[in-house]
Amino acid sequence: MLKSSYLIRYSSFQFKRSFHLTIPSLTAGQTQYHGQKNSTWWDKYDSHVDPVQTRTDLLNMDDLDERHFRPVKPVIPTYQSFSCFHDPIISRVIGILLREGNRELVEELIHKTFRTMKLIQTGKYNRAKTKEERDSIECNPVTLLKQAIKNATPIVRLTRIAKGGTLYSVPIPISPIRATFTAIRLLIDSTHDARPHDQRFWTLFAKEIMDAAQNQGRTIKKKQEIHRNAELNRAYAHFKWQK
Amino acid sequence: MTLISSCLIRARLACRPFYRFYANSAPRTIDVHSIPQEPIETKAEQPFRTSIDDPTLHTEKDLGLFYTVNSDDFKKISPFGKALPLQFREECEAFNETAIMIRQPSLDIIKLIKQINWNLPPLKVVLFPAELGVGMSLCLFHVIHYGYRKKMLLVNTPTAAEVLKLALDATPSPNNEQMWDTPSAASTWLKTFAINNEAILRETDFRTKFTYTWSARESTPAGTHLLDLIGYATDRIKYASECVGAIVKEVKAQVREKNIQTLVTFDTINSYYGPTWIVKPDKSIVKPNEVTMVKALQELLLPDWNNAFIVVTIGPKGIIIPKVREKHNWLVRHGHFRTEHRLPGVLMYDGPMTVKSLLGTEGIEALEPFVPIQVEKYTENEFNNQYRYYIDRNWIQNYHGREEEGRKEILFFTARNPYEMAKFVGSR
Repeated sequence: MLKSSYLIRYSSFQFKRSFHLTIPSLTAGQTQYHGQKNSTWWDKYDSHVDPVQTRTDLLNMDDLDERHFRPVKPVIPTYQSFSCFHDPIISRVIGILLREGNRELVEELIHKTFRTMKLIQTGKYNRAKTKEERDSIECNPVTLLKQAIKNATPIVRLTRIAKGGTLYSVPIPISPIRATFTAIRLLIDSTHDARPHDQRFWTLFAKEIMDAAQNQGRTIKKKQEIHRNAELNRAYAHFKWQK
Repeated sequence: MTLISSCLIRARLACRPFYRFYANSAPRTIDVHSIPQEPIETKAEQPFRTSIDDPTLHTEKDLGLFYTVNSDDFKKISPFGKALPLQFREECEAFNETAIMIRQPSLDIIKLIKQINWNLPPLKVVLFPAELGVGMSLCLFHVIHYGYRKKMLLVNTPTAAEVLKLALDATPSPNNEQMWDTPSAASTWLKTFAINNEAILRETDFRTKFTYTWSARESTPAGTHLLDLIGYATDRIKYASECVGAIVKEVKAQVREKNIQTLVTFDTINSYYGPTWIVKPDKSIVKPNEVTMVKALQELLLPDWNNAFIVVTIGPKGIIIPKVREKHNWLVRHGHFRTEHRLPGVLMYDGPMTVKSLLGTEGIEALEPFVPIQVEKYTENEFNNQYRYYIDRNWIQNYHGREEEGRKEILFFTARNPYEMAKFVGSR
């Protein structure tokens, strides 16, 4: 199920990619330009210098240092920031939800999901009578998201290994970055399948995240299915190292 | 040059060191009671709320403070919940209360209400915004609440634009061939009128002066109570929009004798002077003058009655721009508006939101003479109070957002605009 949705999403992207890297009709404020490789002009000309990374280097900097006279690369990529409301996990989720580089749309969607989550949780908080109830309610949408991702990460993944003419699904260990990716992907895919499907994406996404944070719902079921399949194919686990 | 730039870089990096980038990824649960709240409260010991619920008692000293609206009052004033914008309503549900800030424009209007001569034709006040999202509907709600407490007759259309834009059932009217009815919108208007003014109508025994014939067989005689008339119209929805015209006529005729003061309000009145989204069978657009309800309500603005006070807000420019249905025509030809060049996330300067550009010549002719009152963005004091209110209601969740630098960052991002602040604070 994971693989089919992956294929469907990438077909349109590959079709468009063959046309052009830059989109000439966009205005100066465009953001759909940064994703492609070697698209920024300093990558092409290699003239930008690496920036100062540590405070001691900055304080002991030479007056004749190159960086005073040459353009300097930014310290962090353009989609990250030093703002106190910034979180790398949210950037990751935005990146996974992106389609055709439409970052503004995805940011709006995620803002709305966080807003719906907050509305529900603060509603419960402000109506709670006792102090213990209030302490137990978690209102912060970012912590709920992190909890949901933590609950939805699988431990192993299944690959196809060919041995003796047949393909076996073999459980193998999963790297942590790939694990978070699968967790976020499972959340998004379960919102695509969620019913009632008349409602907007952000309401369904908010419900999925809150359910996953409580260890309930479709995402957890999908993760448990992966684990179950891995358990079933446990006998072939040694195929990874055997050849 | 090098020294200055190095000093600036040093200052910037000193307050935001590089490792800060990873600080937010450490898991940490929010516990409201463990966060020290002293630094914000000791700085300004003045409160940000008042306990005075009654808008008749609000004075200049209460500027920038929040007052909570009684839930009974709120249900009476807006039974369908249309008087306030949707975002604000959702937040009120989450906060378990409706708290509105007392601001200068609404206090100015209340001062005017106290001062005017009721024997003259109605005074028209236009609330126009300095920017989009500045809080006109809430100021209007404050004024309506004041009128409700003062026992004035409330004739308010909470969402004037919805009548024309979102009317899913727009039928040609039975009596007049060129006019169009909006039965559902008319019935909600009548019900809000009834619920707002129940007490006053019963007290003064408001009865109709004229007979109304809806068709060859059906008519209501003179002398029926207005509430009965409204009940009849909600049963026979076919004649609901004509009943709106009937009520307007009655109110205008009888208010002088009964010596009742009326408060007439419209929200986003410039939709009455722009295009509608109702389309005739031959694909031509219906003008607002051809909708019975709108035509009836526009008669309220004429100067041939007295004992009234009219307050009106203006909506954004999008209400005047005609909607082009992009689904079926692949070559979409927009008018001479800059919508075709719009991109999301890119700031485009539209020009100042002047009253003339938003209302158009038709609107100004209908509304003149009026008193314009500008609604501005938050002042420093109001911004701080709003920030403290959000913290009090546990709406700002980020543990940096509750500190001083969070406040500075919100101030920087939102530029003290109320709508932007609500959006920014609500989505993080």
